[in-house]
Amino acid sequence: MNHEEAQALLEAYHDEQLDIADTVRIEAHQAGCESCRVWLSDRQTLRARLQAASLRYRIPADLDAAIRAQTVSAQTVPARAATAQGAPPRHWMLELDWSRALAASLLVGLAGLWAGHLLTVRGSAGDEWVGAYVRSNLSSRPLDVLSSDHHTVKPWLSARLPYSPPVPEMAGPDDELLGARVDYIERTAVAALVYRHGKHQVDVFVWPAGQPPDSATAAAPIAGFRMASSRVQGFNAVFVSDVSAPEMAGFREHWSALAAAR
Amino acid sequence: MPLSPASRNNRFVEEVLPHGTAAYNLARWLSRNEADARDIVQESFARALQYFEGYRGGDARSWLLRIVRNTASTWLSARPPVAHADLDGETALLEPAPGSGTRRDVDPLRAVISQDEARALRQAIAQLPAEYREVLVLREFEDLSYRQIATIVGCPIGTVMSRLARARDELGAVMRAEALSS
Repeated sequence: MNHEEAQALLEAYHDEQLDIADTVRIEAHQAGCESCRVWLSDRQTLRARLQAASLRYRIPADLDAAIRAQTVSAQTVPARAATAQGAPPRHWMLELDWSRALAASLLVGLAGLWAGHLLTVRGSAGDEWVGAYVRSNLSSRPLDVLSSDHHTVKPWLSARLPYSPPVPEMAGPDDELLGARVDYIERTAVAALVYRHGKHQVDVFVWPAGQPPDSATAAAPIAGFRMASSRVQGFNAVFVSDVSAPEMAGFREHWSALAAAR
Repeated sequence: MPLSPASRNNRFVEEVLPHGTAAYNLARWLSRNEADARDIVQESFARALQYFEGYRGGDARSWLLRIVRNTASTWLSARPPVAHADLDGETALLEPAPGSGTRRDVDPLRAVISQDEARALRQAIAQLPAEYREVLVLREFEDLSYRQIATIVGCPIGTVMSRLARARDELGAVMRAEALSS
């Protein structure tokens, strides 16, 4: 192989894209060619620099969650509508814009616990909230921003949502702000504040009153999770936790009073 | 027989959703800002789910990246270019590329670089013409073959190689200038 031929193949050699025959010929040539060796060494240096600079962007956690929710809702949203109208839950009508309606007897998520849970708890008011709470507990990253300081949490949320929700700190022996995340409820991004209450986690979903999602919650616990709602300073708040009813009522009062006093 | 929507979506969750970072990284480098990248990725996944019927298995990442690339070019041609790309944003979201530190002939001592040099490289890549930038990002950050890149970008393999060569020549010049100035 002469030098011109080798030069034409060096880039592909550097990228390990040559077949074995060309690879052998290039290696034979560069062993005796100083300029090809220098060229290759520059390319290797550049590659090492690019790797070391860590320039690959990782998908933000809330975007990843939104896409998952979007994928799952593509098959479950019509199912909820059918259930709400009193249709037997074993004959959900699945309407998808790229295919005909199909009847399905089972929607079992192979997508892991996460999607599985979301699918199985649907059906009545408040399910979405409980689903979000459970999901966050299953996830290895229940919080996107981990801080007990509302000066950190509030701007983080404001940067990701079109509004700035109240973020009471509730610092005390029994209650503590742990952080927040952005959740995706009924195709809407909603602030989820996460508190510790005793040994329990309480999620508080906050969004502007009068905007979706629906703030209806169930009076009875769903799968053992209790809900409450309140309205403070133009914001809806939905509380979800596994605490007892009196504890939930107390937390709701305390939180609402602090949010109203800001 | 077509898959039921439920099992199709489950397959989608298993095969396509794990490539969210590959999709976001490409969209982020093509758009050069976070807001557009988010929209492009969300739209790409919606399209991918729609087209999933036509996906015949195999290389799900390349299949998705081709959709991202086409979505990005439609998206970006429909709106005015960003006045200034937020090149320094989101550093916390950057991650080491796959296989970093394991490539042959990489001297670990030289693999440590300064913040300034990383920033200079990031800016230099952002300033490359889009057709050079995309092949570089797909090759260096996704470790895709020339053939895979050619399929994603829709050009001959030889063109992938010549664009990569141009992109690297420009970055090499930036790196040398950076080394001189520090």
